[in-house]
Amino acid sequence: MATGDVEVSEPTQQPTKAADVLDGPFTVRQLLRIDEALNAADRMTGLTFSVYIGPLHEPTSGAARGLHDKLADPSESVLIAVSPQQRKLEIVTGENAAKRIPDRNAALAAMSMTASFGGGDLTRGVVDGLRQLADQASGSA
Amino acid sequence: MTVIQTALVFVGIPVAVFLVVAGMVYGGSARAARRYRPGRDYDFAPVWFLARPEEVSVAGAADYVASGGEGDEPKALESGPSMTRTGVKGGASGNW
Repeated sequence: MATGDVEVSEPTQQPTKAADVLDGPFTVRQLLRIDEALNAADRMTGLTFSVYIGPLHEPTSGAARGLHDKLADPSESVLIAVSPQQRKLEIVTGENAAKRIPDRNAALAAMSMTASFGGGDLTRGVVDGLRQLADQASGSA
Repeated sequence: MTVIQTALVFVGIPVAVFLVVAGMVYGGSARAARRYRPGRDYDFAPVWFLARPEEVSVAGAADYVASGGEGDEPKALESGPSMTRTGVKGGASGNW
């Protein structure tokens, strides 16, 4: 994989080809920024952050929680699920993660993310959201 | 200057400049079209980013991901043990 840390969520697929991800709405530079933000958030907090971008079943909050459950350690994980088609954003925090990121702060991050998404800037929304959540979780915000 | 030289300078150069600018405008749009624009259809493959992909198990994740196929009724989520496997969850929602 060219970007190393990108996974396509098709479980039946063979290991992701870089071309699959590059076919998406992101340029290589944007993918690198997202990757960098994810790594920084993980390092700062010790939590596992992940970002899903794609369609979600209705109700989207249930679908996002279902995805969150699929992570290796859901209690210590934070999932940001974005569905550009449905124009929906879901932030899901696991049990321990929710103690460090209160729902009020998650809602604040969600608001700034949706502002970027409304302007058509997926990358900036994701990167800013990750930074806000990580700042909150590490106690520096 | 002959007539031909005059035509080359006063017609040929402007036409060349026009073609270069037109090429830059339309050549760039092919890439720019492949981005998300609010209100337009988004039909890219779903992606899931993780800092350490080896730590995730995505088996069964497809149950929660709406397929892009048209006329495909999204199946309702069963509220089973899988939904409550990890206890209380927090978070927030938004739309735009």
